[in-house]
Amino acid sequence: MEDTKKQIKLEIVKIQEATSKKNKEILSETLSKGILVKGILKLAGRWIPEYPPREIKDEEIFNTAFKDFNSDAVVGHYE
Amino acid sequence: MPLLDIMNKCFLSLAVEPVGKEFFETILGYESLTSNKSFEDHINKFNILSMFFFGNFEHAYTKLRSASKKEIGKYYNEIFPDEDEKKKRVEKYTKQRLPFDDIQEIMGWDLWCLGYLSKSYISSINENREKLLPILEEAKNKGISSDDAFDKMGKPKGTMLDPILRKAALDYNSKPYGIYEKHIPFLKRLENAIEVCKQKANTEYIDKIREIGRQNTAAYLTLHDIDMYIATSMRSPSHFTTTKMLIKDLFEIPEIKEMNMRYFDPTLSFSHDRVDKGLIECLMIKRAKVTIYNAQEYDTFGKDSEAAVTLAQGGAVIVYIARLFGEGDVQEFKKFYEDIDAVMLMDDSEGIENLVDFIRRERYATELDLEWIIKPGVGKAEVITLMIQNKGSKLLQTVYKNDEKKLKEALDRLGYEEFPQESPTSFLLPETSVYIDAMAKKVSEKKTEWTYELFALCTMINLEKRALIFKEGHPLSLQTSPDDGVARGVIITRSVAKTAEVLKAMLCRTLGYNIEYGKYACLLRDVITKSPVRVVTRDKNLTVAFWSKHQEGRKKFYFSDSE
Repeated sequence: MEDTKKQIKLEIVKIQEATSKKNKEILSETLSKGILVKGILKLAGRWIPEYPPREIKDEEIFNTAFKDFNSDAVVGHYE
Repeated sequence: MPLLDIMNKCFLSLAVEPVGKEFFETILGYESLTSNKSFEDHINKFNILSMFFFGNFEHAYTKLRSASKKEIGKYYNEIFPDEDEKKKRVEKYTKQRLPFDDIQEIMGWDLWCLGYLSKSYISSINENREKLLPILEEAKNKGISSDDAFDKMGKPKGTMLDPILRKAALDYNSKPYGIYEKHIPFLKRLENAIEVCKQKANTEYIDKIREIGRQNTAAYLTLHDIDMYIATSMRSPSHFTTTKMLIKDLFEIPEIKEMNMRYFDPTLSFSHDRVDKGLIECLMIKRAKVTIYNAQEYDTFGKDSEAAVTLAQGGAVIVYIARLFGEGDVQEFKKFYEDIDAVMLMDDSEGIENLVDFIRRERYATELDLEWIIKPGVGKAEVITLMIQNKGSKLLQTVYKNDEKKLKEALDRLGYEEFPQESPTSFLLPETSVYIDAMAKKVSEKKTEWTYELFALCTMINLEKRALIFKEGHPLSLQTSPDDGVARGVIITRSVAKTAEVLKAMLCRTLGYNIEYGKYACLLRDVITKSPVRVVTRDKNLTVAFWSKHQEGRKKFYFSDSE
């Protein structure tokens, strides 16, 4: 138990040092940056996976949403 | 700086809302930061919890990130019980629960009385029992003492006994002396069948059986909650017997037997009124924790709705699709079925190259077959059909040689009693050797002759395709609940033993889960059958549209009185 506590303290120092060095690039020797970032984003449901979500082009959404409007708001204007 | 603050700094730097102390301690804990693997495991556990209870990662995080330890623990301990808790949950069923023994047994040969009967059906039962009686008495007088000798008796007279037994509703495997209960001495079974044939099935007789069914219904109504409901078709007498056999086989497994389970056995319940019968079934589904859907040969509106309603109410559904020779007693089929399961789980969203590699490596197809299979539109169903045609056919010949009776018994047990109306070739892949052989047996322009081996092969194809449809394409395999918006999926089992394992784990809440991050969706699969029990889409537009509607619905549902 004491060893674990000691180890954790060491980890805290490492993370502390890492976070104070760079705010956005968190580095630690126990947790790799990639794992930490991916983990936090996964935890909160914000992780963008290696497979991108189904791609819908902006024009496609625009056309679908506005197809019933008989106005000038068509793709040409949007572009 | 406290560790929580450091972690929250990390969270904020990634534009993620910070977490409370109690969330940090319960979900992550200090030990999560000691290695990459430990951190990933802790995150994975929270994602499992999120999918299981919320069906949405962000909602779970928003709700729990600043919640109390008690609130978080309510979810966490439910899905990740420690060993002591698991033991307690099992003991609740095995030691604390009293058996429910208010239900009266109805014998296999009488079960048909509880179904929808036409006059012609009753006459047919009586006619066939009359036809059978002298044959049974002759067998007794001649001292016939085995199933084989009995079976041969009918043949010299040009009579197949099995169809008569079936039409006389005597093809049962039911206590006390069912004709297929091989562990009971043949003479006892024979004497019992003679007694049954002597009784005339008239209105009075049917009413007597129905009264027992009605009393059973009254007993079922006294239960507050039930553990299991069985969704099944009850249209033909074979549906009664196959359902009865499933229940019997399930409760013969010691782990299930010891649980003192309370379950609704539809084969033992009767109501004179169709409205009452429907309402009773709705009530039983509402009460049940798990519904077992006995897939049988085809879907029906009744049992499909029962499965869908269970999922929509937040309950669990096990879809049992039997497997020909799949109960483990036929070792030769074990590896074959494991390979089919492996193919079913493969990702074919980008094409079937990995499936083709697999069947080439495992020698399920010739190079000629493979040329045929790599065509547009060919998918898992065709690959599995090819595997069954090429290997299944050989396995059937190795195991059952030319013993058609054994094949017939196995088919009968699953409710496949008569050759289908369609030609065998309609089940097979064209341009393959089995197809060409079947075509050679063509007896007319439209008709190809059925054999029991071909029937067994086509039944295997039918059952595996049915399982594939339930796993991947059946509209009922996934349902969202109007109450919480969670998309729940069914668990597919292929043997009675696996059904028992899943059922026990579900009732005792000890079932484990794994997440699979797929291309279009995240799937939460149970560890026993690997069926997707929860899904979360990765499409952002769909997620926003879906949850905005469900939250709107929830508000209406909960606050309709005050609005």
